[in-house]
Amino acid sequence: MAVARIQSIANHLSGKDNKSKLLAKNPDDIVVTVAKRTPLCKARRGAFKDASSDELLIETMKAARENIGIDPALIGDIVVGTVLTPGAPYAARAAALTAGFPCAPFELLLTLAPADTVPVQIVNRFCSSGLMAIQSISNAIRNGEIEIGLAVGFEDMSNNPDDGAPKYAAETMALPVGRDCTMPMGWTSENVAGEFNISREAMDAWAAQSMQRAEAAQKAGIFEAEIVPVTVPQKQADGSVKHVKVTRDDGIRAGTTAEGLAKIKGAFKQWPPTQTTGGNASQITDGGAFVLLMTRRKAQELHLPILAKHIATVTSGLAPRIMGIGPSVAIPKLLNQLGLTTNDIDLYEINEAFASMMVYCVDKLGLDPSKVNVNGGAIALGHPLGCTGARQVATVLNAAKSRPEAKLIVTSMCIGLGMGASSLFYNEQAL
Amino acid sequence: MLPPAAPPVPPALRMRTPGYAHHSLKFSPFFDNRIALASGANFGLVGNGRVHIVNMSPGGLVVEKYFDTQDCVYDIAWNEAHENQVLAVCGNGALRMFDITLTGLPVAAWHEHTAEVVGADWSNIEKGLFATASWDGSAKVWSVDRATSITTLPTGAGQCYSALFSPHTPSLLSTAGQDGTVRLWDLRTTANPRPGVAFQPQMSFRAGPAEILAADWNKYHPGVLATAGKDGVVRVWDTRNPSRPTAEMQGHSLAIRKVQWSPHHADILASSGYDMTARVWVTRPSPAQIHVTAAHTEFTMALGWALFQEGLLATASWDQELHVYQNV
Repeated sequence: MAVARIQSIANHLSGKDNKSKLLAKNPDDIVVTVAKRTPLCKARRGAFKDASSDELLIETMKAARENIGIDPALIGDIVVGTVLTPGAPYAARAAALTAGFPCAPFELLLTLAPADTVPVQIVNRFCSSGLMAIQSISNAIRNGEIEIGLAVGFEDMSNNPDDGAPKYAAETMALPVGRDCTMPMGWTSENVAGEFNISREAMDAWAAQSMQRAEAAQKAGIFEAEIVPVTVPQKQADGSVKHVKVTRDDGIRAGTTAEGLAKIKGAFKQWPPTQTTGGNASQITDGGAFVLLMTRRKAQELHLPILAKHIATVTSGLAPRIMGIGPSVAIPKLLNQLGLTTNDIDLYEINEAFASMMVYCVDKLGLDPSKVNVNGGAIALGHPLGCTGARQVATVLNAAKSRPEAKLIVTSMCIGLGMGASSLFYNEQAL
Repeated sequence: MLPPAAPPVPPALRMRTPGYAHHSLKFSPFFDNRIALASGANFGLVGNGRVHIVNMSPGGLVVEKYFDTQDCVYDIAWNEAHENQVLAVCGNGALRMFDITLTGLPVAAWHEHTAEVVGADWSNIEKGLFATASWDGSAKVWSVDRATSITTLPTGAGQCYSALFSPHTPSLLSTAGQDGTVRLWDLRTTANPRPGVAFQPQMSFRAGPAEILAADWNKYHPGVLATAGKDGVVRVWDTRNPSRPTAEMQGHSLAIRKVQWSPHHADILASSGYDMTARVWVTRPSPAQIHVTAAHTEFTMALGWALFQEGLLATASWDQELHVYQNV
């Protein structure tokens, strides 16, 4: 009798598929209530070129404070993902205080107890830093350490260019894999194209598609919903400095075609097969993005709209010389852990570091290109290294807003020195 | 800048019954402060059962009386015609009627089911009738003044989990269970079958892909039935056209064991189950979850709306606790 009862209970608990378990809504879920970004502007030539790194970071922080929809003092922690910012922990903490975390009038700030401000941490895992900020906040919430956290991604590549690898220890350089850690990213792109027989045509076709999708999205005003305009100093022709409100991405080239891109000469003559060009690689860009995360319980208590549930983030390592294929390792790892397949995923946002790795990853994973980077990727929008991981979430959740049937969303990127990261979100936006 | 503050949530009333896990609860239709709890030792897997009569006051929840049974009590039903009588249905197939002004032995007893009886429902129109659902694959209709059942309904393959009188049509009864099919029975015909002819439901329909473990009739819309079960989805059916559900609500991560429409709102229902949560849903115009509570630490098998106080919801669980809290 007892056995029959136990069997009945066991039967009730068996056989639910993984997907519906992931889609279940629980008070402890980590949810995204806001995901936005600054415009993305070309490094050294775009709208942010005259702003200092600090000024742009402060503007990003201000944009966050003004758009999170809650009292900033409720935030338990801020994690800033940034790769190149010199003195990043200094810059991030000072920028957060300058931007008004917490939001206190000046007179009140004078009387604040030392414990009354929101702490700040930085995280750096190269191009995934923005996503690592999200993961870090998400884990802290899941652990019960904080209830609400802000993940920020930021990079000012005008002021803080990537100077490549430092000098390594002799012991590192004695190893082939250690020497590979000195390879500039462009070289690794050529390695991917060469080792996996990626054609120049396929690369240019992907790049053109990215540009065309971004152009269409920009013309349709789609990006306006994810962009928070920021005001930055710009030098005028007469030498004076004016503060200008920047509202649009400036890297998207209208009218780009694969035929046009095919005419561009390879950028890296020294590294065969010399297929990577200025037209089929990500742009060097300035920008910031932010994602507000909290428990579903808190979001409901504060009456905030829930954009998505953050389900999981994983990272994985691979050979540094072909770092670009990181998503082809990280996405299967993520899906395997959750018992899903690529067919379960409705939208992908994969960072277009280079068209070579994009073509490889889409082909290797067997993805439907119409589900990948639906509003264009980093080839069109640019790749501010630390910003990208958070920027992708802002972009894909905005794209998912008009696609309520798209439930499960994967974001992913390759990471310098041979790593990949990917993250799963559940779109909860209804039309 | 700041959104409007959330309405304060009054603290839940909580009560623990050491040693007894809960399977069902029912608010008294006569007294606004009285709840009956169906309970069992050892999670109802083996051992005694107990009916707890709980008094609810602003100060808290107190067990004012309890009645022991030989086997776990899986469901209860208040006698709609007698304010002090409550029916307990048990794991060994027995039915026991207790009078809460007395102590000890039951005032009436029946025993026909040959397996666990897991559902009990008192007709609120024909107040002398009640129905039971059993894992023996049948539902039975009983009259309080008869020693044997009036009707036995063959409810399909496998365990029957739910046998419910329609709140609008006195002769209409629904059954549902392991075969995932809802059957509607017209008791005027089944009560007088011709010899050799098996009872036939008036209609039946497949209500979703999974085993049904709970159901409830809407109190406002005649013919509207909610079902829930192993797949964790609550579905609403208009039995006049059950080709597809009129609403589907996903959220439970595991199987659902109870679903109940609000007695005060036509389009609000609550559900609870193995994922330890209780959820409140609005079913129309677009289905949405409006509240989740996750205060229990074990399977939340019991759920019920208060009949007199709008928005008051009670849940009880294998964690031996009864929680009562105010909802929207």
